[in-house]
Amino acid sequence: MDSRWGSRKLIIMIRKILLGLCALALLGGIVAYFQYNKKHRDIASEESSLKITSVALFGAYSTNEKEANALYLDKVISVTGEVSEKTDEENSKLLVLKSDDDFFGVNASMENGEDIGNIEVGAQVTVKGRCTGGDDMGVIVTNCTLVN
Amino acid sequence: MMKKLILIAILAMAHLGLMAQKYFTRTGEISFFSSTSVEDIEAHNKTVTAVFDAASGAIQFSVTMKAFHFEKALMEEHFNENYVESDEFPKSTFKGTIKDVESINFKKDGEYNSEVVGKLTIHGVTKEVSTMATFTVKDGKVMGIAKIQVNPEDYKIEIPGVVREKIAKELEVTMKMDFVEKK
Repeated sequence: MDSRWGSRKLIIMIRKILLGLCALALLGGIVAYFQYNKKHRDIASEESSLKITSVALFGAYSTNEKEANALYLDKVISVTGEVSEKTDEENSKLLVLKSDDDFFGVNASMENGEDIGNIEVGAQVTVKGRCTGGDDMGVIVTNCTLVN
Repeated sequence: MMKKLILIAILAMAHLGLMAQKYFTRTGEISFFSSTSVEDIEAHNKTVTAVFDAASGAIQFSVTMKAFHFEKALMEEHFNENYVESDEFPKSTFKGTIKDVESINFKKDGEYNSEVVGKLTIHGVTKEVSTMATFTVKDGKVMGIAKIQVNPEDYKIEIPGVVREKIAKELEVTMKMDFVEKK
């Protein structure tokens, strides 16, 4: 009698454990699936952590790259400056914002969907994007959108 | 009279040498591709700054690692955080020479090949590299294309055993730059 009741309880317990393990595995699978397919950061929707002029930003990088990276690397920033150069092609949209150097400046690489058709060379603009670093040949800010 | 002419000729040639053009791009493209039985890994960076001197052949480029775009965000994260450690080493650079720059006629449309040698720095490690590059001159613009095999281990890029299977021993890195004259 006793052994029959005992083995019944054992089977129920084993079933519960197996169910628990299945649920865990399923959960793990779901998490892995979502991690694997996670989305890229949507820079346009993020708030910029600071505002800076293109002159100051380029100045920081051409003076001391390490210090500049400590301040700006991987941050979403708003950069204001005068457009010294514009590239407006299907897969390549770039606004170069002036610095104290007469050739190099802040390279604002625009989001592909951003319309910069109305931006003229010489205009003052503010862009928001992610700073990926730079040196005395240019500061790179990617995923840029125009802001007011 | 003859001496004066020769002097003027020499000065004119020297002046032309000084006037030799520099070419640049701010939207140079570097891509790499790795194929294994498990998965294909592909990334593109279209914000490379590159400059070369048509007279001396000196060429250099700078690329910010965080601007490499992968289709899978998770792959991009692993690349930045675990492999190239872009917080610590945000930039890779190349500084070298276009060996046969003299054979490139920048005023005549055409395709020119030359070996490019120099120092490539990735992940804080510098190595001497060399590769063949093709320079296509058209309407005063120069398109430079080169491919190079890069072994991550050469640059102390550690890829954990489990993931190592997924990545080919050497990555094929392609560089494509559309240079224009620097005025």
